[in-house]
Amino acid sequence: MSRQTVEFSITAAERLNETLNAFLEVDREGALRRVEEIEQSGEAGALPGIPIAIKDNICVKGMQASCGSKILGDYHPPYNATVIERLIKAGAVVVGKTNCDEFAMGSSNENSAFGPVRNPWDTTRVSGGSSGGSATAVAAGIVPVALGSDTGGSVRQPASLCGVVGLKPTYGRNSRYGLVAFASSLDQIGVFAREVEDAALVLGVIAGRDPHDATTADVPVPDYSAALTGNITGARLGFPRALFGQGLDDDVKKSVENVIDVYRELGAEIVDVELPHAGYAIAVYYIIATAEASSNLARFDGVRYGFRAEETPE
Amino acid sequence: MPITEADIKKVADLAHLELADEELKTFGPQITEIVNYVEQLNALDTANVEPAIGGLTPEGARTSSSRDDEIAGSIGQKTALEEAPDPASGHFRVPKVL
Repeated sequence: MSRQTVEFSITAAERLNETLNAFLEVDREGALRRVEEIEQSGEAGALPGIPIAIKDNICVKGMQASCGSKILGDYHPPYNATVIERLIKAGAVVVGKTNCDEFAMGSSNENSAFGPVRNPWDTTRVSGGSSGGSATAVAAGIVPVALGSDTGGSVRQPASLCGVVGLKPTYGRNSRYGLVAFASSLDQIGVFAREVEDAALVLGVIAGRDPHDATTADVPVPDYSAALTGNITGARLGFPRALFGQGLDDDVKKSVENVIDVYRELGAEIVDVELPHAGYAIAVYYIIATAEASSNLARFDGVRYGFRAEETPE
Repeated sequence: MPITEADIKKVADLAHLELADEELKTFGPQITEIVNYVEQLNALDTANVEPAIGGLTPEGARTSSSRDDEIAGSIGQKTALEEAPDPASGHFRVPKVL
């Protein structure tokens, strides 16, 4: 069964790539070899034979990690990110690496060195970004789940634009070891899925303390799937009404109002919250993100790997 | 704070970026705009705000990040040099800069 699922994903990824440009690498051979290993071992984890796509700034051994940039190009990292180790242990099969804005900097995926990702609902439109390839791969039905990274919206925004579930976990919830760093005090690896249940399952696998990442919190990982009972009676949901004005598209406004009604009917309590400093968030973000990016990206100097300039400046 | 063409040129020189005259003229007003935007933060009084280090929640920040100092495997010289643009005798060779 899992072989068919994986083969379907690989074939769909290859066939649709000319239209969508969601994948920078599809690993047919490696994925099918992995399926064979799973079949022979007879082990069944939480994600048995589930195909998954990974943003091209997360290290998967044997595959490229270009970060959507020609500076890294066909760089092949010598190790797996911790989240990849955990996914593989749970039985997941990585089928490919997905397109993204260069070094995860962008919100439309037009800033990839390998061309923009198309939105599967309307290929004349952008996928959003920077994890646009992962969002599109899930929305187009190529894979049921994918990983991206979110510094200032790079999972949540493309998920929204592509109409899929996008989850940025709390800082410290999962390890960033093996994620190419952008702004270390904001970066988190996040999950794309077609169903909330699938996102819960994947988060349960990748969450938790990692000795390789000192910023992971040593707090227990709850059973996220078991928490999805369908009953939200008594849940209190905060709504920052002050942000619900200027620049808001009418369709978006209607959608949010609809969802508030749905939650209320399901028994949740909607509470107005004030975020008095929210107006300063973007200014603060652009100081922190750019300063941290400057120090993090200093390692791409062409000494140990990646592009090296022909001429050395005097 | 206005950013002058001389400021742009200085930063570009420090970063070894070659900018055309046209670019020098374009970037000045753009960067001035960014700096002005960020200056709105001066309206906030942060005198009594504790500095924050990293992004962990109080719950996460309380957790210990120390571990036993045990020797673990490493990737080894051969693997480490596999992606090197110009390896030589087990080293990363770089162009002469001095």
